[in-house]
Amino acid sequence: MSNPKLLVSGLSQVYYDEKSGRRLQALYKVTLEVNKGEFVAVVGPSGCGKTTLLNVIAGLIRPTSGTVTLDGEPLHGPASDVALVFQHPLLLPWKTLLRNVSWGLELRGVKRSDAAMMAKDVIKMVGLSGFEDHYPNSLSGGMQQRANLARALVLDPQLLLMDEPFVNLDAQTREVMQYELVRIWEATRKTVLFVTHDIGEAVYVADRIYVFTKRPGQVKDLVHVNLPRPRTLATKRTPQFLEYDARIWDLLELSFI
Amino acid sequence: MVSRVYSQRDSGSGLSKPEEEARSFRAQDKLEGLLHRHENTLLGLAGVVFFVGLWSAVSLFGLVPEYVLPGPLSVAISMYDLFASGAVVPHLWFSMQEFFVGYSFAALSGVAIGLLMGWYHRVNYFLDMLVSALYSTPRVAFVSLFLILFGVIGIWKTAATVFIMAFFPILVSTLAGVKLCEESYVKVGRSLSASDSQLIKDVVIPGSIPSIIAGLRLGTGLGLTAIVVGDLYGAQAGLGYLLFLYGNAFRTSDMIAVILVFSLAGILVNRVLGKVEDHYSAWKPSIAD
Repeated sequence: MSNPKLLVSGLSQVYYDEKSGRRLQALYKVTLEVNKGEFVAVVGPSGCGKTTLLNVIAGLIRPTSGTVTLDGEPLHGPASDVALVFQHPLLLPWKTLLRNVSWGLELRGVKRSDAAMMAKDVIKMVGLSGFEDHYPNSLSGGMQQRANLARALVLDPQLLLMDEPFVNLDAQTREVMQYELVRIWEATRKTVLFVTHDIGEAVYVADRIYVFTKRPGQVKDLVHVNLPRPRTLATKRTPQFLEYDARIWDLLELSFI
Repeated sequence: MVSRVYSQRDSGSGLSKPEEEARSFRAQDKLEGLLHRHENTLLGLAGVVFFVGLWSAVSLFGLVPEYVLPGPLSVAISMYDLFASGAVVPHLWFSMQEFFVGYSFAALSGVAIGLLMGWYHRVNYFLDMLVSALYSTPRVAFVSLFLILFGVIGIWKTAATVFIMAFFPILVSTLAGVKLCEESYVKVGRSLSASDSQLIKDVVIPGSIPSIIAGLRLGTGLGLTAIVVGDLYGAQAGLGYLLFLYGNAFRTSDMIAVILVFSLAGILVNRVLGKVEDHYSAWKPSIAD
């Protein structure tokens, strides 16, 4: 077996609530791995610590115990090889779409004109060409989420973390965005860790799915999704898809009680 | 819009009735458009005209003696004389220097310290008591201190008064702006491994621009007040000095003319600030529309 790209081992996270004085265990001994070029999803009920998991991997939170390694190297703090796609688009309202996407590059000292060129390519990839000079508040929710994805992709990260990026979109836009994400991933083959509570979404996008329990979040099961690629929206209507969907529901339902 | 549909449908059929209607529609549209676009300015002018009319009426009917409240015409003449004779120019120039020096220092240090206090908790705690104490002190009281510190001659006594009046509102507004800044934008920046100074430049400052501008506006009003207050004791030049000179000589209409110079200065500075604000809020959809 080759070494995984991302290895999370024995990760526990405890929050201390200052008001109530209570300790809150968000994650308990989570161990998971993502191989290079693999699309892995984490599915779990609300509040199972999925977002915490991503924040720890992204280096925004220090873990209580356990380790996170990327290519065998331990991660401490935000790494330039890791990009996080937030649940909310969180585009800076005072920057145009182009400058929002190129921002991460500019922060890294890439010359503004070079950054703009790279950003334009990615903006085209996510289907937002022609909107480069628009400000975020003139873009629809779906477009803002595309821009959010572009902001992460432009950095050409070794690892792409996605935190329920489509949860705030309407049902139709969500379908389209799932399709777009699969299309872009199949073209780029990035290493992705994708967190969601939407089972159908996880089955549709991922190669493997870690099913989490409710809080404190632990890995309950691992499901390999052997649906053929390229996947289209029609994939969602196939019997195999529905089978996976039902299987994960069963796994999850037990932990809802 | 309506007119365009009309004229297209009937094009080529000569001057039919709808075409004529369309023309008058168009003329009307233009006028309405013009009125609509300049509505705010027109309303503003109407307000001024109304007030001046009221003022004229009071003085025309002799409700108040001329030496107590001269009419707008006398004040206009005084204003003209003030500039035509050049009597106001050295004082205006003197006061402008006082204001510029005091206000620039206040703006630069107020914004900078406000940003630092908002961003670094330790700086905040270090300065918090000091700022609260001075902010709630009637700062006009410092004039006598500045008189002793800087002496009567020169711009420094009044410049310092402008500074101490304008500095605190600018500081406090900036600080409030930073605190209002969306925490999640900072988080995005951090995930993109932005440094503190990059975050301040790209997130905190643009995010608090509205508050900073509001503070600068407040500071303008107080700074102009300081020019008058700073000249209260023993001043030899400046608009405030001129104001007291005319007041003591019962030259009421000259006095009001000087007050108007202050108003115009206030309008001017606020216009400039408005332009700065527009520049930084190009991204905002207009609420008025």
